[in-house]
Amino acid sequence: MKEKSQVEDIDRSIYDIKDESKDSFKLQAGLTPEIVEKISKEKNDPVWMQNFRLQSLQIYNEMKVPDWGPSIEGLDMDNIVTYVRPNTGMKGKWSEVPKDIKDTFERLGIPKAERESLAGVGAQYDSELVYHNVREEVAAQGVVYTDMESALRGEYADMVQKHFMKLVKPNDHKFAALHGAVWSGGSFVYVPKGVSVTIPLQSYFRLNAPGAGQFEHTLIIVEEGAYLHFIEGCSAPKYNVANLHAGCVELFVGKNAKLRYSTIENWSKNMYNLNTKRAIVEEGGTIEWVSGSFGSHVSYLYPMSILKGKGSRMEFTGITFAGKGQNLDTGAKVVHAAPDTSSYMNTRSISKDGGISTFRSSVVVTKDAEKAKSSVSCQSLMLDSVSRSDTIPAMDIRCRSANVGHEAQIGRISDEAVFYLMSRGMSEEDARALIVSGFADNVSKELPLEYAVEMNNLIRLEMKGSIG
Amino acid sequence: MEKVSEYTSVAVGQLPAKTWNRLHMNGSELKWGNETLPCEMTLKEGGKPFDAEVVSGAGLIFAADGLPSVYGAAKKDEKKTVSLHIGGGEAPFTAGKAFFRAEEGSELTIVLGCEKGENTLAFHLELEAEKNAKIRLIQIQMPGTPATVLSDIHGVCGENGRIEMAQLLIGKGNLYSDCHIDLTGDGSSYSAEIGYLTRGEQKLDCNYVVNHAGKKTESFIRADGTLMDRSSKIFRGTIDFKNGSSGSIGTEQENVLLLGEEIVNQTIPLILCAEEDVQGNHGATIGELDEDILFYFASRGIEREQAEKLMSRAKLDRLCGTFDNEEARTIAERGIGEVLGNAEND
Repeated sequence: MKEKSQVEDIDRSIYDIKDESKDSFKLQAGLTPEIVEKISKEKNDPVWMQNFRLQSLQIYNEMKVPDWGPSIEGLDMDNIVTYVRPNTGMKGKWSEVPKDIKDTFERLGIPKAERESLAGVGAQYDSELVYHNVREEVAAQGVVYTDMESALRGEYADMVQKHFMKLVKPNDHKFAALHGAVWSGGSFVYVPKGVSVTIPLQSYFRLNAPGAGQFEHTLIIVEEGAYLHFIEGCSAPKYNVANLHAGCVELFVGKNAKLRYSTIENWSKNMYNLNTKRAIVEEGGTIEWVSGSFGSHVSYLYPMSILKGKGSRMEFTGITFAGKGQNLDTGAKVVHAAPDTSSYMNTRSISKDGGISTFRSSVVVTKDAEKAKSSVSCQSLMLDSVSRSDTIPAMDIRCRSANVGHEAQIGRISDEAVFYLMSRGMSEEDARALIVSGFADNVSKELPLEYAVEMNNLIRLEMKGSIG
Repeated sequence: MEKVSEYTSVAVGQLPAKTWNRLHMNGSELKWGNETLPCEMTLKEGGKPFDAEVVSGAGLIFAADGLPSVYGAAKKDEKKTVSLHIGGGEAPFTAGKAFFRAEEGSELTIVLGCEKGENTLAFHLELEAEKNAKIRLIQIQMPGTPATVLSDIHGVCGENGRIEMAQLLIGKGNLYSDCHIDLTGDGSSYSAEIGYLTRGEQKLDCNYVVNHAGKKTESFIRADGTLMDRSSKIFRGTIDFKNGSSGSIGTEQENVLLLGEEIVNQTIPLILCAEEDVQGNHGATIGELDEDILFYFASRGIEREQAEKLMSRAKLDRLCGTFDNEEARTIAERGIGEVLGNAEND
């Protein structure tokens, strides 16, 4: 076999800095009705939410762990702390956030990004938000961007209750039920009719406590004709014990509205990432998912779109990088439930150093989805023979006028492509780096420049290495 | 397997890697009676069958006592054609087994016809292509109504061995085609050309698994078919590159023409890969006739319904054109004429 360059692991130095735990409140590990009641009491939940949590816990106890994906045997809920409150309340100015927490977010570039290119930021540390702010001119348009707990009690309480876990119901799967029982933190966003939020909003989730879980809930409602780009990022330092992320994202895209939801996921390699994201799109509306998955020990992540209205659209662009010790099961799902709907999935995956990457998708076209169109494209790059890459796409089509196409490719870096670049004066190392960098372009070109740079720093700088 | 009154549920068409259970694509269950009687099997060649384990989930069916076993072989460097006819018989559940071996350097062509019948029939085919040998299977399945047929095939290829399959899956009854091929020898290869047409309430359940174990092995699976009326079809195709199969190539393609108002089409093409130096490709296109094609036909005075029949026929004719055997072509053309001639009356 020809010699080839090595691909280094992603540089995690800035993400692995651990803050000393100075929590003001921390529940004992485990999952019992008493623990759920304590969370509800700490958060001063309305009565309906208190009952909802307990019902969700019951559903969780009755449901089985999925038998089709990566093993999560290493996750023991008896050892997971479901609620950790940091030693601060939510602030509207970075100067008011405790220094150690602020410094962590500074290192991650969040305040800088807010100053330079964001319309608003929500920063969550362990189980609660520590900072939340939105630009005045954005708020003046009627845009609401607040933490979930405030939204639950304020003037939007009815709206939140009407939508909360109606799209992702607790009985959807076991970890949706878990989320329903112990959720904390997250953001509520409301964009009124016709309003275009031209600069992105961002939420960043940092999990600092070892053996803890983060269960933030993001609820976004984009009304008719409105536009929003929402970015989420996440990271955690690596510990020798398991951490758990079972967040939930529910997106409601109104008639002729457009929502772009971008995620750079960089959890540590002890994290079990069992996240659920779902969008429902009305007539003429568009949902765009941009997803970069680089972290976690085990991931189950399949953003789902329900194209409910005539002419609604979905685009999914994603990249997954599975390295040593990682089993990342990612993909997307779409349901075409109305005529003239369209969906497009374009994904890439890279596996190296024993990593396992699985692309899993589902395209369902119901009988009513006349002239629906769907195209799925998946490319996988294997960088050695100790890794794995699997592709499991499923299509269920029940309308004769639908037009569905799917293609997938798996392989290694082309020797011909490397030779071509080398014949133009590049070293083999640079040639392979360029090819892999280009392989990830499907996602980086969809992100704002700052995030593309971050994502490229996660990949491109590590592409160069010694010829192995 | 669970016992349900006087029946047993037999797992068939199982995916090597499961997906979401709620999609109901991970496999199927075939209802099978507790008494299995011999089916009708007529082979123009005879001999003693070799030992082989049924690798699919249907082992229980073929473990029954007294089932017919037929055997055909091509000796070293020999070229031979054998003909196998399988029928269901009178009993509600019948089964049989057939074993074929192509010895080193030989070429063995098997023409398999399975027509009509009214009951539930299962047959197991074991194919062994030794070093530098080739087995070509031309299979024509035309179950009658309300028959159910399970075609359970397992093949193994030695060094530079090859198995080719050309399958025509038509008729009126329900059809399960479960095929597992092991490319164990370096340089071995497998190809499958599958043509199908379903109509009425017919159910077609296909599962093709190719395990690339040897180096520089190649596989090619192409399924091309039409769904009419209220019929349903699931096509599962798996290319599995095992660690050590460097230099291997696997390709899978499915094209489905949707012509019925109540059809159900399920497609799940898998690529599983534990080896870096391989190439895997799969593609699927699913839909009705393109408007441009319909316009072309209309401009020549051919209406939509006739155009759809012509295109459906063209898919099957393309497959039958590869049947390099007079008997096979005769059976196929008769079968295609029957199904396309009577499709609108079902």
